[in-house]
Amino acid sequence: MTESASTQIWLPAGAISFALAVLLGTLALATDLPDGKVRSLARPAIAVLACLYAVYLPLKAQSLTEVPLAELPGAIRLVLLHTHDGAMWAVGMAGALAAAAAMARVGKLSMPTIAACLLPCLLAKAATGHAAELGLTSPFVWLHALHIGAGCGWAGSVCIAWLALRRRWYADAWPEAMTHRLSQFCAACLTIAAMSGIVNLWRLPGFASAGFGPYERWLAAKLIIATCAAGLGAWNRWHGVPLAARGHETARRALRATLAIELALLAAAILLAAILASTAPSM
Amino acid sequence: MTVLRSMRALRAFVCAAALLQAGGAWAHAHLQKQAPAANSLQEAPEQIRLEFSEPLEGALSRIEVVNASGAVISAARTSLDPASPKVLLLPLTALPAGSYTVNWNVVSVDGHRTRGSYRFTVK
Repeated sequence: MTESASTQIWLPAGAISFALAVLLGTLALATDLPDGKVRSLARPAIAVLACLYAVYLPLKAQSLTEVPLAELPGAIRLVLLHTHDGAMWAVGMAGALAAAAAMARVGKLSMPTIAACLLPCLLAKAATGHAAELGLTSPFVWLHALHIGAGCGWAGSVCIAWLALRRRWYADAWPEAMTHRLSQFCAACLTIAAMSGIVNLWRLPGFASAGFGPYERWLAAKLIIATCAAGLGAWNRWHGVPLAARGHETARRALRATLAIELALLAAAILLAAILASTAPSM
Repeated sequence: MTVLRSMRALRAFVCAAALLQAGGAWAHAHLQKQAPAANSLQEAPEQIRLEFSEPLEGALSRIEVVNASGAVISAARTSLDPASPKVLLLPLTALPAGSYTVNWNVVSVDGHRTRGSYRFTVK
């Protein structure tokens, strides 16, 4: 038996996760961001999310059917109407469009509304890939959606905080409330991601006795990267953020640098998660 | 108090994890049973029946039967067994004596393609 790798899919899948991350990060830090910044971040992120979904469908259809380019329209129709992947794509796209509509209609940005619209995107991601056979109603899929949401929320909030400090959105005032909220939110996300990740590992077939194939190598890489990011996050929470709040310019520069490194690590972890979703575990 | 709360949270997590553990395996279709059996010598079968480890996408999964000279002899459509989304069926017309190869190419619901082949002989 051989397996066909859907290698071209992980990049748009990872990009969708990153767009979701930026949105979740914006929502998480919204109350402490300067006026206008939330809208200017969320609007393009939602537009990019919808565009990425639009690109994802033909790529996924080509990957599933292996048809030449000329037959792609028929393959897209087949995948959309007759496969689980197609149904989950529709759920995710509906979430992205609902978020866009909510953003356009609501005069003052309604964070809970947009967060609710992103729930279908997270659920659709969770129900695609290795948990596909369980269906949307499975508690495992909801837990996996929580895992994805926590990972994306962590990466997104670090991204937004780094942008805010890097671009000096707060002029000369140090955004103590924002960095404090970042610290608390990341800690919560890390706890949720770690606990749900343990359940994911537990569900791997023959986890303890499985071989060390490509899936296990990618997984090990993701775990190492996530552990390094968690270490940086912990350093920021207990050392970097309090020191920066006391007004040390060197500490503030160091915090910006560690946030940049943490963001790079989390972006790599998101891409690795997308690769894992399209790779079979060793049996 | 905090320790008690943590213990409660841990207990709830373990219970939830135990509940979820019964939910199913990680998808990716592996062939588990086949009829006719691989490398068997038998009467002409009425159908090919392949059972996989995971549910399949019926619209994207195929079985093909090829005779010894390499010609495809299966004209019927492959379909999922209505009783189980893990079972793929291909009806056959009466096969003459000879050696045959079954090529299968399936997509599991997690969107991953697996393929393989095996042989049987009709006496």
